[in-house]
Amino acid sequence: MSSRAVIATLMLFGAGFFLEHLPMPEILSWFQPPWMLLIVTLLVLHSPHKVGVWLALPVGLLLDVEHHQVLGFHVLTITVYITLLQMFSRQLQRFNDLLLALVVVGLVAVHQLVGNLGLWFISSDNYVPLWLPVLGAALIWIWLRTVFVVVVAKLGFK
Amino acid sequence: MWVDSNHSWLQTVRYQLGFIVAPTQALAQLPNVLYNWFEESSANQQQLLIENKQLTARNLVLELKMQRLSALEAENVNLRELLNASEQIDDRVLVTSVIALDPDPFSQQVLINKGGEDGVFIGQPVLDAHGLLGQVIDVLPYSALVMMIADANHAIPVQVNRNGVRSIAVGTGALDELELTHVSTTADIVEGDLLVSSGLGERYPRGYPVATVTKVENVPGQSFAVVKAKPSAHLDRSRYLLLVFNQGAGRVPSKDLWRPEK
Repeated sequence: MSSRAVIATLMLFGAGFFLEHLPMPEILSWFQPPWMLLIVTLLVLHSPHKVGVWLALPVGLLLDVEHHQVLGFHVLTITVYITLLQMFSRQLQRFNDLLLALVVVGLVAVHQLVGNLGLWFISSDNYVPLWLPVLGAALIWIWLRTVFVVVVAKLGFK
Repeated sequence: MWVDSNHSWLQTVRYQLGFIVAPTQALAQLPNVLYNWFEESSANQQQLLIENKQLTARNLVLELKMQRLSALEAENVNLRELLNASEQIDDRVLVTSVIALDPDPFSQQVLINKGGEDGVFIGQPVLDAHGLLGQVIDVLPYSALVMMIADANHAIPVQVNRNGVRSIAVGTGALDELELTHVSTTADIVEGDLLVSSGLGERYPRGYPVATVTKVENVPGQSFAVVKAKPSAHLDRSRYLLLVFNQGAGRVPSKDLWRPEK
């Protein structure tokens, strides 16, 4: 991996954390997509041999800090997510954009389910499972992937 | 996850990781900061003059109250000295402002722009100009998360200012309502009573306004009355808050006191 690619990846993560923290109007906050998860998806699909489950540790820990969550919570959910994504990555390469978007949204829903189960396990009776971020991810995924593909092509990364 | 839930050992790890996410958090707050700056700098002279007049008048009223309070405080200190009790009355405070709300619509938590580098600690009481607002539940280097008293996972020991009847005010999840638990039907609590913090539990300082009783209902056949109260602090409006550094209260809890029991 060239130093240019490393810097670009770090900037991508920076942008992801920026978007995760960006305050939104109350009505939109229900739909706030899991930005970092979508970015992890882009990277795993782009370089499945370089980006793997190891990424869940740094990204998961930083997300736990970002969301004031119990340390290890996002590490677990992202590990499950990346494992599933890698299992299907070869098939996903051959899918068209619409099918890929459907599968990614399905995987995000599985991630949300794992997260909700985890929250149910560690939190009190007042816990409320949220599903609208999956819809947010569905709405944003195609646009995000298009921008990513264009930028990767412009910068000439393989 | 289990270690972080049950022990405070990983607090240092969390704090150090906070330095990594701090730049992106600061960047994400930039639009808000710029908007506030623009709003403040675009105020015209007429608005500033009106505001200045209002503040001067308010300052006079407060100074008048302060004179009476100083006399009462001195008297209180004398009486305490007579009783051989040592209690600090003045609390050191730090002004902070709200920078974000928790995106989870069911939790009443806000993010403030002071953190561990400013001396903020877990369990620290937070007030606004009108009363107790909540307590710090997580600290990062340059920000901290505050759970407000209206959060459904929050409870605060209170007493009625009029007669000293003690109770626990529990958050309902709605910003404008608290509920008093296990209040006997014969307890002397009426609508309009001011509830102040009792200081029991050593978490909150004593004597700060918490809420005003809005409804007292005795349901026939029930052992406890239904008592609702409206928080004194402007939970949905206050932008500037005060972090209190007072004696005894708000020590880092021994075992995740701020987290709900499962």
